[in-house]
Amino acid sequence: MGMRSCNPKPYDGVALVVPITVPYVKTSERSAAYFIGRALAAMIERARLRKADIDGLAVASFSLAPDTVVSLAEHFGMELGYLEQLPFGGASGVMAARRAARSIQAGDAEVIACIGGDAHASGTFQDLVANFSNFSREAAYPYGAAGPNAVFSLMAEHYMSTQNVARDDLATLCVAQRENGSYFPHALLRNPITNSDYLTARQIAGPLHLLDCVMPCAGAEGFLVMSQERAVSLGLPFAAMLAAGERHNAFSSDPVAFRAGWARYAGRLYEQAGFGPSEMDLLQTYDDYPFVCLMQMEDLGFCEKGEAARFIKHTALTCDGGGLPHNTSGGQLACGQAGAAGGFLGIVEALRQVTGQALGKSVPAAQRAMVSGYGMVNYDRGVCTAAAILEGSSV
Amino acid sequence: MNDSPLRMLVCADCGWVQYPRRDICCNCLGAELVDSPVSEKGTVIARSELHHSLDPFFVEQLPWMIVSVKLQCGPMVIAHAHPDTQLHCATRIVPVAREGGSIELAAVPVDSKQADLKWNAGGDCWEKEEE
Repeated sequence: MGMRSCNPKPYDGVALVVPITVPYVKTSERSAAYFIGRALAAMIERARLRKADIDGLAVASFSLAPDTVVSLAEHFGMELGYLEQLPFGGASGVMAARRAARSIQAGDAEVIACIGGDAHASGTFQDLVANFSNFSREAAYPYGAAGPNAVFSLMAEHYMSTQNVARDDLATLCVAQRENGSYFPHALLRNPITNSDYLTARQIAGPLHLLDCVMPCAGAEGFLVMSQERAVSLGLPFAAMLAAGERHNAFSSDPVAFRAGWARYAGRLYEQAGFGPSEMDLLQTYDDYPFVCLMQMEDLGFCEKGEAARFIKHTALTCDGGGLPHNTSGGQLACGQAGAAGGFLGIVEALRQVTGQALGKSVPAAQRAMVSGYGMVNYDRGVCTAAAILEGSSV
Repeated sequence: MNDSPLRMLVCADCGWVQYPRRDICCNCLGAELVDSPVSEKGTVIARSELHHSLDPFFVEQLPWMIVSVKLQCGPMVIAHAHPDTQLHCATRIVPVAREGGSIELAAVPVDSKQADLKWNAGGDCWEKEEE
Protein backbone atom coordinates (compact mmCIF):
# COMPACT_ATOMS: atom_id res chain seq x y z
CA MET A 1 0.00 0.00 0.00
CA GLY A 2 2.97 2.33 -0.57
CA MET A 3 2.50 5.57 -2.42
CA ARG A 4 4.54 7.30 -5.09
CA SER A 5 7.14 9.55 -3.56
CA CYS A 6 7.04 13.17 -4.54
CA ASN A 7 9.66 15.83 -4.80
CA PRO A 8 8.43 19.03 -3.16
CA LYS A 9 9.83 22.36 -4.29
CA PRO A 10 12.13 24.16 -1.85
CA TYR A 11 10.75 26.52 0.78
CA ASP A 12 12.82 29.41 -0.55
CA GLY A 13 12.21 32.82 0.93
CA VAL A 14 10.29 31.61 3.99
CA ALA A 15 11.29 32.53 7.54
CA LEU A 16 10.34 30.95 10.86
CA VAL A 17 10.62 33.53 13.64
CA VAL A 18 9.85 34.30 17.30
CA PRO A 19 9.85 30.92 19.03
CA ILE A 20 7.48 31.20 22.01
CA THR A 21 6.77 28.96 24.98
CA VAL A 22 3.92 29.82 27.33
CA PRO A 23 5.20 28.37 30.62
CA TYR A 24 3.63 25.01 31.43
CA VAL A 25 1.54 24.35 34.52
CA LYS A 26 0.61 20.92 35.91
CA THR A 27 -3.09 21.67 36.09
CA SER A 28 -5.12 24.74 35.37
CA GLU A 29 -8.74 25.74 35.17
CA ARG A 30 -7.82 28.04 32.26
CA SER A 31 -9.07 27.14 28.78
CA ALA A 32 -7.11 26.18 25.67
CA ALA A 33 -7.99 29.59 24.24
CA TYR A 34 -6.18 31.18 27.18
CA PHE A 35 -2.90 29.36 26.53
CA ILE A 36 -3.11 29.82 22.77
CA GLY A 37 -3.98 33.49 23.23
CA ARG A 38 -1.00 34.00 25.57
CA ALA A 39 1.28 32.55 22.90
CA LEU A 40 -0.22 34.82 20.27
CA ALA A 41 0.18 37.94 22.42
CA ALA A 42 3.78 37.02 23.22
CA MET A 43 4.75 36.53 19.58
CA ILE A 44 3.12 39.78 18.49
CA GLU A 45 5.01 41.64 21.20
CA ARG A 46 8.33 39.98 20.42
CA ALA A 47 7.98 40.65 16.69
CA ARG A 48 6.90 44.25 17.36
CA LEU A 49 3.82 43.73 15.21
CA ARG A 50 0.21 44.75 15.72
CA LYS A 51 -2.52 42.14 16.05
CA ALA A 52 -3.88 43.33 12.69
CA ASP A 53 -0.58 42.37 11.02
CA ILE A 54 -1.32 38.68 11.63
CA ASP A 55 -3.46 37.44 8.76
CA GLY A 56 -3.15 33.70 9.28
CA LEU A 57 -3.73 31.41 12.25
CA ALA A 58 -2.80 27.72 12.39
CA VAL A 59 -3.69 25.90 15.59
CA ALA A 60 -3.32 22.44 17.09
CA SER A 61 -5.21 21.63 20.28
CA PHE A 62 -6.97 18.65 21.83
CA SER A 63 -9.03 20.66 24.30
CA LEU A 64 -10.65 23.33 22.12
CA ALA A 65 -13.86 21.42 21.38
CA PRO A 66 -16.58 22.36 20.73
CA ASP A 67 -14.63 25.40 19.54
CA THR A 68 -12.28 25.41 16.57
CA VAL A 69 -9.70 27.77 15.13
CA VAL A 70 -12.70 29.67 13.77
CA SER A 71 -13.91 30.33 17.30
CA LEU A 72 -10.42 31.56 18.17
CA ALA A 73 -10.51 34.16 15.39
CA GLU A 74 -13.62 35.63 16.97
CA HIS A 75 -12.34 35.10 20.53
CA PHE A 76 -9.15 37.03 19.75
CA GLY A 77 -10.92 39.64 17.60
CA MET A 78 -8.94 38.91 14.43
CA GLU A 79 -9.85 39.30 10.77
CA LEU A 80 -7.93 36.57 8.95
CA GLY A 81 -7.28 35.40 5.41
CA TYR A 82 -5.95 31.98 6.38
CA LEU A 83 -7.15 29.45 8.96
CA GLU A 84 -5.72 26.05 9.63
CA GLN A 85 -6.48 23.48 12.28
CA LEU A 86 -4.07 20.62 12.74
CA PRO A 87 -5.42 17.57 14.56
CA PHE A 88 -2.07 15.83 14.20
CA GLY A 89 -0.78 15.72 17.79
CA GLY A 90 2.95 15.17 17.90
CA ALA A 91 3.42 15.88 14.20
CA SER A 92 1.44 19.11 14.18
CA GLY A 93 4.29 21.60 14.64
CA VAL A 94 6.29 20.59 11.58
CA MET A 95 3.08 20.12 9.61
CA ALA A 96 1.97 23.65 10.56
CA ALA A 97 5.32 25.02 9.38
CA ARG A 98 5.07 23.20 6.05
CA ARG A 99 1.57 24.44 5.33
CA ALA A 100 2.23 27.98 6.49
CA ALA A 101 5.44 28.15 4.43
CA ARG A 102 3.58 27.24 1.25
CA SER A 103 0.91 29.85 1.90
CA ILE A 104 3.55 32.51 2.46
CA GLN A 105 5.31 31.52 -0.76
CA ALA A 106 2.06 31.62 -2.69
CA GLY A 107 1.04 34.96 -1.25
CA ASP A 108 -2.10 33.59 0.41
CA ALA A 109 -1.04 35.16 3.69
CA GLU A 110 1.73 37.43 4.98
CA VAL A 111 2.19 36.58 8.64
CA ILE A 112 0.92 33.26 9.99
CA ALA A 113 0.87 32.44 13.69
CA CYS A 114 1.39 28.70 14.26
CA ILE A 115 0.44 27.61 17.77
CA GLY A 116 -0.03 24.34 19.63
CA GLY A 117 -1.66 24.69 23.01
CA ASP A 118 -3.83 22.86 25.47
CA ALA A 119 -5.63 23.18 28.73
CA HIS A 120 -5.29 20.56 31.46
CA ALA A 121 -7.95 20.70 34.14
CA SER A 122 -7.69 17.92 36.70
CA GLY A 123 -9.56 14.77 35.68
CA THR A 124 -9.75 15.58 31.98
CA PHE A 125 -6.90 13.31 30.85
CA GLN A 126 -9.00 10.14 31.14
CA ASP A 127 -11.76 11.61 28.96
CA LEU A 128 -9.21 12.50 26.30
CA VAL A 129 -7.61 9.07 26.14
CA ALA A 130 -10.84 7.08 26.54
CA ASN A 131 -12.38 8.79 23.51
CA PHE A 132 -9.28 9.53 21.46
CA SER A 133 -10.60 7.85 18.30
CA ASN A 134 -13.29 5.38 17.27
CA PHE A 135 -10.75 2.61 16.68
CA SER A 136 -9.07 3.23 19.99
CA ARG A 137 -12.35 3.41 21.89
CA GLU A 138 -13.39 0.01 20.54
CA ALA A 139 -10.16 -1.92 20.15
CA ALA A 140 -7.44 -0.46 22.38
CA TYR A 141 -8.72 1.47 25.39
CA PRO A 142 -10.93 -1.34 26.82
CA TYR A 143 -7.85 -3.53 27.18
CA GLY A 144 -6.73 -2.27 30.55
CA ALA A 145 -7.84 1.37 30.23
CA ALA A 146 -4.23 2.48 30.40
CA GLY A 147 -4.34 5.01 27.56
CA PRO A 148 -1.22 5.53 25.47
CA ASN A 149 0.91 3.66 28.02
CA ALA A 150 -0.76 0.37 27.02
CA VAL A 151 -0.33 0.67 23.27
CA PHE A 152 3.18 2.08 23.54
CA SER A 153 4.19 -0.66 25.97
CA LEU A 154 3.31 -3.29 23.36
CA MET A 155 5.25 -1.35 20.74
CA ALA A 156 8.16 -0.79 23.12
CA GLU A 157 8.45 -4.44 24.01
CA HIS A 158 8.45 -5.46 20.37
CA TYR A 159 10.88 -2.70 19.35
CA MET A 160 13.30 -3.35 22.19
CA SER A 161 13.38 -7.10 21.62
CA THR A 162 13.75 -6.91 17.85
CA GLN A 163 16.05 -3.85 17.58
CA ASN A 164 18.53 -4.74 20.35
CA VAL A 165 17.55 -2.05 22.82
CA ALA A 166 17.80 -2.55 26.59
CA ARG A 167 16.46 -0.33 29.37
CA ASP A 168 20.08 0.68 30.04
CA ASP A 169 20.18 2.26 26.60
CA LEU A 170 16.99 4.19 27.20
CA ALA A 171 18.44 5.31 30.53
CA THR A 172 21.36 6.90 28.66
CA LEU A 173 18.94 8.88 26.51
CA CYS A 174 16.69 9.94 29.39
CA VAL A 175 19.56 10.97 31.68
CA ALA A 176 21.03 13.17 28.93
CA GLN A 177 17.68 14.68 28.16
CA ARG A 178 16.87 15.47 31.77
CA GLU A 179 20.31 17.07 32.06
CA ASN A 180 19.40 19.31 29.11
CA GLY A 181 16.08 20.02 30.78
CA SER A 182 17.78 21.04 34.02
CA TYR A 183 18.96 24.24 32.29
CA PHE A 184 15.59 25.01 30.71
CA PRO A 185 13.58 27.51 32.77
CA HIS A 186 10.16 26.23 31.65
CA ALA A 187 10.76 22.53 32.37
CA LEU A 188 8.36 21.25 35.02
CA LEU A 189 10.84 18.49 35.94
CA ARG A 190 14.09 20.39 36.26
CA ASN A 191 15.98 18.00 38.48
CA PRO A 192 18.52 15.82 36.66
CA ILE A 193 18.19 12.05 37.08
CA THR A 194 20.70 9.21 37.32
CA ASN A 195 20.78 5.87 35.54
CA SER A 196 19.69 4.29 38.76
CA ASP A 197 16.70 6.66 39.12
CA TYR A 198 15.62 5.60 35.66
CA LEU A 199 16.16 1.88 36.16
CA THR A 200 14.48 1.68 39.55
CA ALA A 201 11.45 3.81 38.71
CA ARG A 202 8.05 2.24 39.28
CA GLN A 203 6.82 -0.06 36.48
CA ILE A 204 3.90 1.37 34.52
CA ALA A 205 3.31 -1.01 31.62
CA GLY A 206 5.57 -3.73 30.24
CA PRO A 207 9.03 -2.22 29.69
CA LEU A 208 7.74 1.32 30.37
CA HIS A 209 8.50 2.73 33.80
CA LEU A 210 7.65 6.07 35.36
CA LEU A 211 10.57 8.00 33.83
CA ASP A 212 9.62 6.83 30.32
CA CYS A 213 6.32 8.63 30.64
CA VAL A 214 5.61 12.30 30.05
CA MET A 215 3.62 14.34 32.53
CA PRO A 216 0.38 15.79 31.15
CA CYS A 217 0.13 19.54 31.73
CA ALA A 218 -1.17 22.78 30.20
CA GLY A 219 0.73 25.29 28.10
CA ALA A 220 1.44 26.44 24.57
CA GLU A 221 4.24 26.70 22.02
CA GLY A 222 4.34 28.64 18.79
CA PHE A 223 6.18 30.64 16.15
CA LEU A 224 5.44 33.00 13.28
CA VAL A 225 5.96 32.23 9.61
CA MET A 226 6.59 35.12 7.18
CA SER A 227 8.81 36.00 4.24
CA GLN A 228 12.54 36.32 4.90
CA GLU A 229 12.27 39.83 3.52
CA ARG A 230 9.73 40.73 6.18
CA ALA A 231 11.79 39.06 8.92
CA VAL A 232 14.84 41.07 7.90
CA SER A 233 12.87 44.32 7.80
CA LEU A 234 11.57 43.60 11.31
CA GLY A 235 15.10 42.75 12.47
CA LEU A 236 14.04 39.27 13.58
CA PRO A 237 16.53 36.42 13.64
CA PHE A 238 15.01 33.65 11.52
CA ALA A 239 15.44 30.08 10.38
CA ALA A 240 14.93 28.89 6.85
CA MET A 241 13.30 25.51 6.25
CA LEU A 242 15.73 23.75 3.94
CA ALA A 243 13.58 20.65 3.51
CA ALA A 244 10.52 19.08 5.08
CA GLY A 245 8.40 16.01 4.63
CA GLU A 246 5.49 14.14 6.05
CA ARG A 247 4.08 10.65 5.60
CA HIS A 248 1.13 9.14 7.37
CA ASN A 249 0.02 5.55 7.85
CA ALA A 250 3.24 4.23 6.32
CA PHE A 251 4.27 0.59 6.80
CA SER A 252 0.72 -0.17 7.88
CA SER A 253 1.17 -3.89 7.22
CA ASP A 254 3.88 -4.21 9.89
CA PRO A 255 2.00 -6.18 12.56
CA VAL A 256 3.63 -4.12 15.32
CA ALA A 257 5.24 -0.81 14.41
CA PHE A 258 9.03 -0.68 14.69
CA ARG A 259 9.48 2.07 12.07
CA ALA A 260 7.36 4.87 10.69
CA GLY A 261 6.98 7.28 7.79
CA TRP A 262 10.28 9.19 8.27
CA ALA A 263 12.12 6.37 6.51
CA ARG A 264 10.16 7.21 3.36
CA TYR A 265 11.50 10.74 2.95
CA ALA A 266 14.63 11.15 5.10
CA GLY A 267 16.96 10.63 2.13
CA ARG A 268 15.13 13.23 0.10
CA LEU A 269 15.39 15.77 2.93
CA TYR A 270 19.19 15.46 3.05
CA GLU A 271 19.43 15.64 -0.72
CA GLN A 272 17.39 18.81 -0.73
CA ALA A 273 19.28 20.37 2.19
CA GLY A 274 22.61 19.56 0.58
CA PHE A 275 24.07 17.90 3.67
CA GLY A 276 23.53 14.74 5.65
CA PRO A 277 22.81 13.76 9.25
CA SER A 278 26.47 13.91 10.25
CA GLU A 279 26.45 17.66 9.58
CA MET A 280 23.42 18.32 11.76
CA ASP A 281 24.16 20.45 14.83
CA LEU A 282 21.21 19.16 16.79
CA LEU A 283 18.23 16.85 16.65
CA GLN A 284 14.80 17.28 18.18
CA THR A 285 12.72 14.12 18.17
CA TYR A 286 9.25 13.51 19.52
CA ASP A 287 9.87 11.83 22.86
CA ASP A 288 6.63 10.23 23.86
CA TYR A 289 8.20 7.63 24.69
CA PRO A 290 12.03 7.44 24.68
CA PHE A 291 12.17 4.33 22.48
CA VAL A 292 10.35 6.37 19.83
CA CYS A 293 13.35 8.75 19.84
CA LEU A 294 15.60 5.84 18.91
CA MET A 295 13.17 4.85 16.18
CA GLN A 296 13.40 8.37 14.77
CA MET A 297 17.21 8.35 14.88
CA GLU A 298 17.17 5.18 12.78
CA ASP A 299 14.44 6.13 10.36
CA LEU A 300 15.94 9.61 9.85
CA GLY A 301 19.26 8.00 8.96
CA PHE A 302 21.36 9.03 11.95
CA CYS A 303 22.18 5.32 12.24
CA GLU A 304 21.10 2.05 10.66
CA LYS A 305 17.99 0.21 11.80
CA GLY A 306 18.77 -1.79 14.91
CA GLU A 307 21.86 0.35 15.64
CA ALA A 308 20.30 3.13 17.71
CA ALA A 309 21.40 1.70 21.06
CA ARG A 310 25.00 1.44 19.87
CA PHE A 311 24.75 4.91 18.29
CA ILE A 312 23.73 6.66 21.50
CA LYS A 313 26.36 4.74 23.48
CA HIS A 314 29.02 6.49 21.40
CA THR A 315 27.27 9.82 20.81
CA ALA A 316 26.76 12.35 23.58
CA LEU A 317 23.20 13.68 23.52
CA THR A 318 23.72 16.64 25.86
CA CYS A 319 23.86 20.24 24.61
CA ASP A 320 27.61 20.61 25.05
CA GLY A 321 28.86 17.03 24.86
CA GLY A 322 30.26 17.35 21.35
CA GLY A 323 28.06 14.57 19.97
CA LEU A 324 24.55 15.04 18.66
CA PRO A 325 22.68 17.38 21.02
CA HIS A 326 19.21 15.88 21.29
CA ASN A 327 16.02 17.38 22.73
CA THR A 328 17.98 20.30 24.02
CA SER A 329 15.23 21.79 26.19
CA GLY A 330 14.72 18.44 27.89
CA GLY A 331 11.85 17.56 25.58
CA GLN A 332 8.51 16.49 26.95
CA LEU A 333 10.23 14.11 29.37
CA ALA A 334 11.49 17.14 31.31
CA CYS A 335 9.08 19.89 30.26
CA GLY A 336 5.83 17.93 30.43
CA GLN A 337 3.32 17.23 27.68
CA ALA A 338 1.00 20.17 27.18
CA GLY A 339 -1.23 18.28 24.76
CA ALA A 340 -0.69 19.41 21.18
CA ALA A 341 2.00 21.85 22.34
CA GLY A 342 4.14 18.72 22.59
CA GLY A 343 4.04 18.57 18.80
CA PHE A 344 5.47 22.11 18.65
CA LEU A 345 8.05 21.84 21.43
CA GLY A 346 10.74 20.38 19.16
CA ILE A 347 10.44 22.88 16.33
CA VAL A 348 10.20 25.83 18.75
CA GLU A 349 13.34 24.70 20.59
CA ALA A 350 15.18 24.05 17.30
CA LEU A 351 14.23 27.54 16.12
CA ARG A 352 15.60 29.02 19.36
CA GLN A 353 18.86 27.11 19.09
CA VAL A 354 19.65 27.91 15.45
CA THR A 355 18.81 31.59 15.93
CA GLY A 356 20.90 32.04 19.07
CA GLN A 357 17.90 32.47 21.37
CA ALA A 358 18.22 29.41 23.62
CA LEU A 359 16.51 29.81 26.98
CA GLY A 360 18.41 26.93 28.53
CA LYS A 361 21.83 25.75 27.49
CA SER A 362 22.94 26.77 24.00
CA VAL A 363 24.37 24.27 21.58
CA PRO A 364 27.68 25.89 20.59
CA ALA A 365 27.54 27.45 17.11
CA ALA A 366 24.26 25.73 16.30
CA GLN A 367 23.06 26.42 12.78
CA ARG A 368 21.41 23.28 11.46
CA ALA A 369 18.69 21.29 13.13
CA MET A 370 16.58 18.29 12.29
CA VAL A 371 13.15 18.28 13.91
CA SER A 372 10.77 15.37 13.74
CA GLY A 373 7.28 14.70 14.93
CA TYR A 374 5.17 11.63 15.57
CA GLY A 375 1.51 11.74 16.28
CA MET A 376 -1.90 10.29 16.76
CA VAL A 377 -2.22 6.75 18.05
CA ASN A 378 -5.50 6.07 16.35
CA TYR A 379 -5.36 2.35 17.18
CA ASP A 380 -2.05 0.61 17.78
CA ARG A 381 0.65 3.03 16.56
CA GLY A 382 1.33 6.65 15.74
CA VAL A 383 -0.06 7.35 12.29
CA CYS A 384 1.45 10.77 11.52
CA THR A 385 5.11 11.56 10.92
CA ALA A 386 6.74 14.78 9.82
CA ALA A 387 10.29 16.12 9.79
CA ALA A 388 12.05 19.32 8.78
CA ILE A 389 15.60 20.62 8.49
CA LEU A 390 16.01 24.18 9.75
CA GLU A 391 18.99 26.45 9.24
CA GLY A 392 19.53 29.66 11.18
CA SER A 393 20.30 32.81 9.24
CA SER A 394 23.52 34.61 10.06
CA VAL A 395 22.09 38.05 10.74
CA MET B 1 -14.04 -21.80 10.50
CA ASN B 2 -17.80 -21.45 10.19
CA ASP B 3 -18.16 -22.60 13.79
CA SER B 4 -15.54 -20.14 15.02
CA PRO B 5 -16.88 -18.01 17.86
CA LEU B 6 -14.85 -15.07 16.56
CA ARG B 7 -16.73 -12.79 14.19
CA MET B 8 -15.41 -9.84 12.24
CA LEU B 9 -16.50 -7.74 9.30
CA VAL B 10 -15.37 -9.26 6.00
CA CYS B 11 -15.46 -7.39 2.70
CA ALA B 12 -17.98 -8.93 0.30
CA ASP B 13 -15.90 -7.74 -2.67
CA CYS B 14 -12.32 -8.68 -1.78
CA GLY B 15 -12.59 -10.88 1.32
CA TRP B 16 -10.38 -8.62 3.48
CA VAL B 17 -10.98 -9.13 7.21
CA GLN B 18 -11.47 -5.77 8.96
CA TYR B 19 -10.43 -4.93 12.51
CA PRO B 20 -11.22 -2.66 14.26
CA ARG B 21 -14.76 -2.42 12.88
CA ARG B 22 -15.21 0.08 10.11
CA ASP B 23 -17.62 1.16 7.40
CA ILE B 24 -15.39 0.97 4.35
CA CYS B 25 -12.97 -1.82 3.38
CA CYS B 26 -9.37 -0.72 4.06
CA ASN B 27 -8.17 -2.80 1.11
CA CYS B 28 -10.57 -2.06 -1.78
CA LEU B 29 -12.84 0.67 -0.32
CA GLY B 30 -15.82 -1.66 -0.79
CA ALA B 31 -18.86 -0.69 1.24
CA GLU B 32 -20.42 -4.10 1.80
CA LEU B 33 -18.85 -5.48 4.95
CA VAL B 34 -20.48 -8.62 6.29
CA ASP B 35 -20.30 -9.79 9.89
CA SER B 36 -18.83 -13.31 9.48
CA PRO B 37 -17.10 -16.03 11.48
CA VAL B 38 -13.31 -15.86 11.01
CA SER B 39 -10.42 -18.07 12.13
CA GLU B 40 -9.55 -17.47 15.76
CA LYS B 41 -5.96 -18.72 15.37
CA GLY B 42 -3.06 -16.37 15.85
CA THR B 43 0.37 -15.76 17.35
CA VAL B 44 1.32 -13.53 20.24
CA ILE B 45 3.70 -10.91 18.85
CA ALA B 46 3.89 -8.54 21.82
CA ARG B 47 2.84 -8.71 25.45
CA SER B 48 2.69 -6.21 28.23
CA GLU B 49 1.86 -6.41 31.89
CA LEU B 50 -0.03 -3.28 32.90
CA HIS B 51 0.73 -1.88 36.35
CA HIS B 52 -1.32 1.25 35.97
CA SER B 53 -4.83 1.94 34.78
CA LEU B 54 -7.28 4.83 34.63
CA ASP B 55 -10.25 2.55 35.34
CA PRO B 56 -11.07 1.48 38.92
CA PHE B 57 -12.00 -2.04 37.75
CA PHE B 58 -8.55 -2.68 36.31
CA VAL B 59 -6.82 -0.86 39.15
CA GLU B 60 -8.19 -3.54 41.49
CA GLN B 61 -7.03 -6.34 39.18
CA LEU B 62 -3.49 -5.09 38.51
CA PRO B 63 -1.20 -6.31 37.15
CA TRP B 64 -3.25 -6.98 34.01
CA MET B 65 -1.79 -8.72 30.96
CA ILE B 66 -2.55 -7.58 27.42
CA VAL B 67 -1.12 -8.94 24.17
CA SER B 68 -0.88 -8.09 20.49
CA VAL B 69 -1.94 -11.08 18.43
CA LYS B 70 -1.46 -11.42 14.69
CA LEU B 71 -4.39 -13.45 13.43
CA GLN B 72 -3.93 -15.91 10.58
CA CYS B 73 -6.95 -14.32 8.91
CA GLY B 74 -5.10 -10.98 8.70
CA PRO B 75 -5.73 -8.41 11.40
CA MET B 76 -3.63 -7.60 14.46
CA VAL B 77 -5.74 -7.44 17.60
CA ILE B 78 -5.04 -6.24 21.11
CA ALA B 79 -6.52 -8.69 23.62
CA HIS B 80 -6.78 -9.45 27.29
CA ALA B 81 -4.44 -12.31 28.10
CA HIS B 82 -3.75 -14.80 30.81
CA PRO B 83 -0.71 -13.79 32.92
CA ASP B 84 1.18 -16.88 31.76
CA THR B 85 0.81 -16.07 28.07
CA GLN B 86 4.21 -16.22 26.44
CA LEU B 87 5.61 -14.25 23.52
CA HIS B 88 5.42 -16.08 20.16
CA CYS B 89 2.99 -18.68 21.51
CA ALA B 90 0.11 -19.93 19.41
CA THR B 91 -3.16 -18.62 20.68
CA ARG B 92 -6.86 -18.52 20.02
CA ILE B 93 -8.77 -15.26 20.20
CA VAL B 94 -12.16 -15.64 21.80
CA PRO B 95 -14.87 -13.05 22.35
CA VAL B 96 -15.72 -12.50 26.01
CA ALA B 97 -18.54 -10.56 27.58
CA ARG B 98 -17.62 -7.79 29.98
CA GLU B 99 -19.80 -6.38 32.67
CA GLY B 100 -22.05 -3.86 30.98
CA GLY B 101 -22.52 -6.05 27.93
CA SER B 102 -19.58 -5.11 25.76
CA ILE B 103 -17.84 -7.90 23.87
CA GLU B 104 -14.06 -7.88 24.06
CA LEU B 105 -11.32 -10.20 22.90
CA ALA B 106 -9.25 -12.54 25.04
CA ALA B 107 -6.19 -14.55 24.04
CA VAL B 108 -6.26 -18.18 25.18
CA PRO B 109 -2.99 -20.07 24.67
CA VAL B 110 -3.34 -23.20 22.55
CA ASP B 111 -0.74 -24.82 24.80
CA SER B 112 -2.37 -27.83 26.49
CA LYS B 113 -1.32 -26.88 30.02
CA GLN B 114 -3.33 -23.69 29.74
CA ALA B 115 -6.23 -25.02 27.75
CA ASP B 116 -8.35 -25.41 30.84
CA LEU B 117 -8.20 -21.74 31.61
CA LYS B 118 -11.26 -19.81 30.68
CA TRP B 119 -12.59 -16.32 30.97
CA ASN B 120 -15.09 -15.98 33.77
CA ALA B 121 -18.01 -14.28 32.07
CA GLY B 122 -19.48 -12.96 35.32
CA GLY B 123 -16.37 -11.93 37.16
CA ASP B 124 -14.27 -10.40 34.42
CA CYS B 125 -11.23 -12.44 35.30
CA TRP B 126 -9.33 -15.60 34.46
CA GLU B 127 -10.08 -18.76 36.39
CA LYS B 128 -9.51 -22.50 36.17
CA GLU B 129 -12.45 -24.28 34.62
CA GLU B 130 -14.27 -26.20 37.32
CA GLU B 131 -14.66 -29.92 36.85
